[in-house]
Amino acid sequence: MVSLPKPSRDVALRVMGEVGFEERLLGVKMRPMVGNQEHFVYSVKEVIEFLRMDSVEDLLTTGSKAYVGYIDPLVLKNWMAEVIGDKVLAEAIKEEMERLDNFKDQVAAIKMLVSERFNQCVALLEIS
Amino acid sequence: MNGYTGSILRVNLKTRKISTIDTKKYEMWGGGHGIGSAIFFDLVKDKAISGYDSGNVVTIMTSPLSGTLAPAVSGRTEVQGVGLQSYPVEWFTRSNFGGRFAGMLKYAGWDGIVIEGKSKNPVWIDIRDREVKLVDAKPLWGLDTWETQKKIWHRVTGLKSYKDWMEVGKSPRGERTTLKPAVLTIGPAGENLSRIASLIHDAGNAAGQGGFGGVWGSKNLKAISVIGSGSIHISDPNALMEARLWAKKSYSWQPGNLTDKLGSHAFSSNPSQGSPSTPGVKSRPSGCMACHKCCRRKTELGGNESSCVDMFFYCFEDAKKHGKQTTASLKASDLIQKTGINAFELETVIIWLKTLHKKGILGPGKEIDTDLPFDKMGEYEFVEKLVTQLETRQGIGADLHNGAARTAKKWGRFEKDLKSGVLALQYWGYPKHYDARTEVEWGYGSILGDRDCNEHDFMMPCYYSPSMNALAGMETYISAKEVSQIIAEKCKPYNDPLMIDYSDEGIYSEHMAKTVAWHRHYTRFWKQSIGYCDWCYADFVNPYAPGYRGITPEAEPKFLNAVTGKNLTFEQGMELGRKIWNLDRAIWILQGRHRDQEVFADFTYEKPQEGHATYEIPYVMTVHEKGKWKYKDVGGRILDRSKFEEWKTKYYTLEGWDPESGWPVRKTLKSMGLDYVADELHSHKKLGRG
Repeated sequence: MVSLPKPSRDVALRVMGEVGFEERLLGVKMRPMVGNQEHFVYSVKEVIEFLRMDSVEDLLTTGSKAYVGYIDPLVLKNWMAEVIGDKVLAEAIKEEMERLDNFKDQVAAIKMLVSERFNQCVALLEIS
Repeated sequence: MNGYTGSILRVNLKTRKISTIDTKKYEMWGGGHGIGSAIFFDLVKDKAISGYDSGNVVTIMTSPLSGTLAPAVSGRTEVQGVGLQSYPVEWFTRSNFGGRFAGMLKYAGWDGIVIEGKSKNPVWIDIRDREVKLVDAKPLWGLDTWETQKKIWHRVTGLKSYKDWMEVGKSPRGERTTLKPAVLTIGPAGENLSRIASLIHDAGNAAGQGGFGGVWGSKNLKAISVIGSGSIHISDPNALMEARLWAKKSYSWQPGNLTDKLGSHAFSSNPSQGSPSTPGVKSRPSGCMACHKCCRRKTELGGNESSCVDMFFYCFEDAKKHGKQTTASLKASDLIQKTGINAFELETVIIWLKTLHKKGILGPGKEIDTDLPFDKMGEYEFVEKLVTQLETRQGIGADLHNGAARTAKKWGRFEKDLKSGVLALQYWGYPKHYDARTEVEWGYGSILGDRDCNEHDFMMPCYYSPSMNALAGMETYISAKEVSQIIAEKCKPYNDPLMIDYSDEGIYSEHMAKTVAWHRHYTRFWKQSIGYCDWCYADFVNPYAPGYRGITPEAEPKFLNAVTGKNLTFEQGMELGRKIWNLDRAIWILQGRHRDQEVFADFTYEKPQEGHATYEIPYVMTVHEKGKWKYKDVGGRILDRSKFEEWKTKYYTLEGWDPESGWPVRKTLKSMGLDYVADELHSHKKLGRG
């Protein structure tokens, strides 16, 4: 996985913040039987919680028990750069997208990456 | 009448007259939906009435297979009447629920119940075998659905323990049972006439879509309780048993034979997979009467018998708040089952309210004033307050009890929020389920009908299975070409491999017209009249079956004929489905339906501006391009208005309807023995020309 240098305090504050309606990010819960439900995501913390892809086995054999928390990786990369203003994280996401060839692997790597960034910001801002 | 009891119970709540209809008069329609539509057509002279009108007739119908050992069909009950949920017209509509009500009704000697009129005071119907009474429901009015059922169980059984035998009715034969009554009831939401109120049976069986809870409330009907001690005549019990064993052995999961083929599952899914497990919560499988699949769970902390959206509608907010799913979701599931509110609508409402709150339009002292605690979103406290306001019509619930579409209209947001897709009501004011722009047979079928069709037949093999495999970078174990061949074999009478061509050209083709026609006819008869469960049928592609060829169309007539002793072919069933579909169409036309109304919400046709909040998800489907089959991502597609209108003309023509109006022509109706329907349409100047 790509290693991230420590963010600046300004970036950390933006990563920990919440954006307005016009700057929202779309996430879609893709579920068997129940359908695909659109949700709006307003913070990096919410991105971490939303991103998910259960195993294909569970997705295809367990009714509506499993689901995909889908955020388009390219849109996410752009959102991190343009809305959150974390160009380093955006570039790291891009590298993972290029390194991995499918969403399931990408989402796992990106989730770890964004989580790492979030934890860096928590530490930097000394948030308990 | 093997499979039938021979009697349909008729209850007039206004006159308190209890009578019977001879099932033989309607047997030609098969059961369930077919019989319900036929009775509605005969009894309701003015079809254009409101769902709240006392002249509205509600039918609650079983099928010949209800209460038998036929798998994934025995427990379904079909409900029909003029609904309250659809917008802008309250269409004649349907809903359906599982459990044990249908079987119990048959054991009591009834093929269905017809409810007419409006009671002066709240009542419930007490059915004990052939004895039927209207009982004062004032002591039950205001109780939630679970409390209501408990009260009725205790009153009917008079016992403290269900292990004891009880006498049913007062017949000289002195029949006895240890079972408790099956109760179908409304909660406070229905009593308060909500358009999004459900009918609830046991813990989590709900007839949600349509708003029948509010219809019952308008009739002052709180509940129907039934306990039966009889049995059902089976024409060939040995054939029925053999058919069940054949289905289980050849088409279903069994211990020790789990497949590694990750593809579409319908009949073959594992038991108890329908509802999510919450960490640390013990549970065990639960299912409808005689089902081999048992897709729900009983848990120790909540969410009992709920599945699908009932279980999921609050999970996202819960997980977001707590970092993982907690018991808040389970408690929320139980809350809506107890109050009797439609989960599918509620999930959309919550997302919409959140959006309006975030935009600064909705909140304390805002343009739309509400005291809902948005800081508690994800906690049980938020959903409890919202549901309480909905069920009591207090606060924001004074608007929302009418459903999202009518609320949006009242708030002046209908056009803009549907245009932007912020409020994703795609057809007749119902929330988008699977997208009409990509999985078109779902959307087309919904807009040609009366509600979100909610029929998953093509969804698994043509969209979901290839999409999930593609997201994981895996090959689907079966090729698009093989899927097209299998579905073509199974989709009698059309047998057209291009029926599942979801390419940009295919979705406007005559082949897609056949797909939609097949789907409408199949579901109207085999699923909604005979009762085959949507979570198991149609079983096209099955990883356990020889050549991956699922149990459809062999199983549907096999079980039915074993029970009835008739020799109905699958194709004859499809023809009956076409007849029922045309009868429903006639009812909608008498309610005012015209082809001009059959259009989707604007966002379906308009490309949104690209942005962080407007992209489309991958939608990998079966397509046939340049002479070859493949799986292709068709996500991001919008419908072309003029091409969709041209497609409608192809569809109407295929069905034998006047393309100008979308109304059936006399010749079509006559060919199915529906001359009297043609006469009715003609008398209203609504018979198609040609």
